Amino acid sequence: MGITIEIKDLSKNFGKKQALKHVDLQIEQGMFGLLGPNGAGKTTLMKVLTTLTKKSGGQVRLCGIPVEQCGQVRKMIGYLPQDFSMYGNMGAYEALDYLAVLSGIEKKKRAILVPQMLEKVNLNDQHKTKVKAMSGGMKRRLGIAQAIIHNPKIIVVDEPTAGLDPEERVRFRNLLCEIAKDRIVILSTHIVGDIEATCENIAVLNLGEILFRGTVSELLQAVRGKVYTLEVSTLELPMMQEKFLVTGILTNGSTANIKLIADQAPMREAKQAEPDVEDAYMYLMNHTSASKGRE
Amino acid sequence: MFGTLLIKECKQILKSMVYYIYVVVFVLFLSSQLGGDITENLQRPQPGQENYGMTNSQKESDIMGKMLAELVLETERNSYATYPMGFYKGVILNETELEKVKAIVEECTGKNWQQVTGEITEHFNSYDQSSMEGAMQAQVTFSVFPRDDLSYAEFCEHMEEICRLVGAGSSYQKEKWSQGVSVPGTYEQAVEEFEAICTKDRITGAIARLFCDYAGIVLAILPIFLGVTRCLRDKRAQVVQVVYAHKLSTAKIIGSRYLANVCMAFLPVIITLLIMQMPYQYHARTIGVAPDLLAFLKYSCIWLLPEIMVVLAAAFFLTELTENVISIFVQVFWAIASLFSSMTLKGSFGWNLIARWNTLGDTTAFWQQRQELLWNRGFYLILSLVMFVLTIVIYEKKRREGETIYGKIFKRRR
Repeated sequence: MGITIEIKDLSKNFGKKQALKHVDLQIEQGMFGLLGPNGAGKTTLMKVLTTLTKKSGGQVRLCGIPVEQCGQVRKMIGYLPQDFSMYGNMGAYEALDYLAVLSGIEKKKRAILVPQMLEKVNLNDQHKTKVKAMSGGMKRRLGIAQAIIHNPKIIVVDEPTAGLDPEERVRFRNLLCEIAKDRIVILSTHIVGDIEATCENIAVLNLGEILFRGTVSELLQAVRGKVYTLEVSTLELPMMQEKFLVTGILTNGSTANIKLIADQAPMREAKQAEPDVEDAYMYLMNHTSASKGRE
Repeated sequence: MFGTLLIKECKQILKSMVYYIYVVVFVLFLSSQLGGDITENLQRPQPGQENYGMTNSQKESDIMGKMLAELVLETERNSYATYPMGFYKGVILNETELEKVKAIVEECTGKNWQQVTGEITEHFNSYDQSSMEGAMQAQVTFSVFPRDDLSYAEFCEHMEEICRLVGAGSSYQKEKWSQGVSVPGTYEQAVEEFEAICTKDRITGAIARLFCDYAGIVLAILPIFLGVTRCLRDKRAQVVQVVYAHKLSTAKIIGSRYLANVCMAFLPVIITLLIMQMPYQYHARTIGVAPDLLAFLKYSCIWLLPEIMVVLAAAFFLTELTENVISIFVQVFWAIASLFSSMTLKGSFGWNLIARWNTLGDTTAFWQQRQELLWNRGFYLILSLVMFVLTIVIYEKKRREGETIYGKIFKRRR
């Protein structure tokens, strides 16, 4: 059985609230981005995949194994939750060794793997640093080390770059791309830049529903020819924001250079621009809420 | 893998401040109770000694004499000690009630109240009241003789009436004196008792019982802090989901945590007893008795280990269920209730969590009640295993469903 995740008609209810509504997804080997605003259901979907939450309906298979077979599924997944942490009084080595034991790795193997993983995530010089003394970035790197130490086929990382400084963020993205060679890495985030930099295949989730699934190029295609740049007076800004979907503003004294999305050129002076993933994402979210409003 | 995790859990406990507080409180409590030299009470009795200690008597005449003596002394002061909820409460009767009590005393003794008080004064004046020993001797030897034709059934009825007047928790409740009363022992009784300590207990057994009595009090509460700390540690360190998502089975995770806590909670008990038994082993040899070298270990394993196990199992079970510190309050309540529900400080183990034997010796009486103690400890051992299994079930459910049962109930109610 190949490395795939099949999600069919997946639903998850919390009381009356439906957190996931008939989600269908097929995820293949490589980096996969799951994009959506806060409260979209990304974490719920991640938790279903990592056996931490029971689904209410539908089917989920990881490498052909139904998610209900928790023991089997846990063997093949590595999970880095949103707020990863470890016992504060443990050093990096000790913490990783402890989690390696929880992964069922034998002593001899651990003695080789733990230093190897620490080196991979660039923590070998800080192997004695206590978790409570670690920066956010160091903790995430330790988190990714524990997620990959048992060589899982699937790695799930939930909002891994939130709160990291730009340098740490770039380093972390590169690390994710590096480990995604022979496996599936699902990156769940609301930060479009992370997806743009790392994933080719993506899905956009909002209010528990899949709004888009496909490649980044396909997402961009939907907004191509609809992105414009324009110089306006700062006094006109509120009117422009009300009328159009403005995705960027660069003020310069009394004027502002804005980037907006519109089906047709808003003014004669407007110039067509190359869209980025953020524009496409904003267009998609706006488009969906507009159609929902019409319904 | 289980062994590795167990060792890691033990190391984690050794790094915890709560554990060192546990050890310090345990050692301080025990040394405050057993720190002095009690070997002087373990000498062969000699004829002509001033006293031969106290012995338990279930003779009806002794019971009536001791109970009437206590009643007379308390009535004279009009101050009755009661323990209605386990805590002391002094009761003062009004004139009418006091007259009723005095009438009962007169009815039981066949003497008028003035005669009775005269006898009290006479008895206490015959002892040197200025010394502690004299005052105590006067107290323990004081007895009031019932009238010759007072039947035991009549006496019981009178005591019931006293209980109604004085209120709940007084010494006159039948269950408090029906197991016998303390009376001064004779030389023959003292020799018999000493022989039993030497042959059955081989000295160290008697000391071990006293050790277990005191240790049992603190161990009914202290381990709960270790258990609660361990269970809430994951939540506090935000590692719950990381642990849940790993491969190792719930039984191994919870099992290693529970066993590590049991071992580490029992470790100071073993070390303290090893140290404390040394002078008594030496003392046994000096009086020509071969001490039972394993007595402390045997008593601790049978008496204290099930208690530690059940307290920790309750901590694990309630904390995993509620994810808060409620188990501390439950356990403190349980321990206090157990402590004060004991009708006596010696034996009557029943189903009490804290088994009491607050005396050095009384070997024959202990061996008569030994089976009751074994049933009691066996019950708590089984209860701890049941709670341990339930903890595994709850943890597995949380691991699979992502929320606590308590949380679910609470949310639905809201």
